[in-house]
Amino acid sequence: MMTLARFEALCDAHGGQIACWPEAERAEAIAFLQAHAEAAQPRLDAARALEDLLSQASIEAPSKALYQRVVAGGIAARQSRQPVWASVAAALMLTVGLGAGWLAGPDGTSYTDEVFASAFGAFETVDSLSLEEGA
Amino acid sequence: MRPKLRVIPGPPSDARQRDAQGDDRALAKAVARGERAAIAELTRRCLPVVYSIARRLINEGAEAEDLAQETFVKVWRAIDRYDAERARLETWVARIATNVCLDRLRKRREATLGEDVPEPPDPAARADALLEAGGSADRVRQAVGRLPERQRLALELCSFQDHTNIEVANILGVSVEAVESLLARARRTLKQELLDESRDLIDGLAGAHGGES
Repeated sequence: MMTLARFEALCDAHGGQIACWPEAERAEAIAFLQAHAEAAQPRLDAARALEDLLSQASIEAPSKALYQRVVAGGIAARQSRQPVWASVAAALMLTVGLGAGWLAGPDGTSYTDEVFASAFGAFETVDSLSLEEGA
Repeated sequence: MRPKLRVIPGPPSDARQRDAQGDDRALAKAVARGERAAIAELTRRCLPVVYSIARRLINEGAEAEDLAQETFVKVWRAIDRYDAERARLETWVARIATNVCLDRLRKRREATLGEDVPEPPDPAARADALLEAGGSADRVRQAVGRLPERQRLALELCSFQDHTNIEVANILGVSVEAVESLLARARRTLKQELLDESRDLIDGLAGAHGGES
């Protein structure tokens, strides 16, 4: 049940806007205010007046320079903390790329092609020799 | 200017809550991957509340900036461990900021232990200082600055930032009832101080609201 003490406690805890008070107590508070306006209204008015005063004491917004320093710090901190596997993967890709580049010949023919050609060429030579010997 | 009206909503719908959790989780993961846009977005969302907490508790601009940066160093380190199901991203970051600032204040107190303890201020001298401060904004700031740390924090988060009592309870690591008690004590103290010192001003402002409900 709403009492003057509870009404005053709600003014102190939640300020002078009944709409901002806990939902469960709003209807009772409004009814109490209507029934006991002489005692309740000054308390509500004082709470509102205090809110008006408090609104003059708000903190200024943080500076743009601070914002930029914080963002720069965040980028540096997080990018230096990327997982080890990411650097390993990057190193591996670099190695593969360099290897492929080294294997490729200047005319676009890869050394691998030359190796295969010489290997099959050797088999062909062996085969032709065997045929000649058999003949 | 009246503070932004903060209607206490009912519990958020499950779908809305899931969406918010999903957004926070995705942003945290992108930050963890070092994505610049995500780091900028998290900073844009959270720096104002971090700076306000630091400024309200420390009351010195350069040191507040230093504490804001220290808070974000911890955020960047711990972002892999952020759990979207436990708290919104802003709440999680605000809690880190609160711990960083309270830690700094504790160290400061420990450093002054053994030094000459200053005498409590003379109330008459304080009234003179308030008069000299001139503008009511300075008077209010000074009165808020004299509140105990946790009352100041609860007031900053509830009255100046757009946090609900439940979120503030999460940030301060206390129950919702404890937050209400902190707020009630803070407002009672301020009312007593500011109403006594600014009766004319308050009467004028209250008159403007008279009869509203």
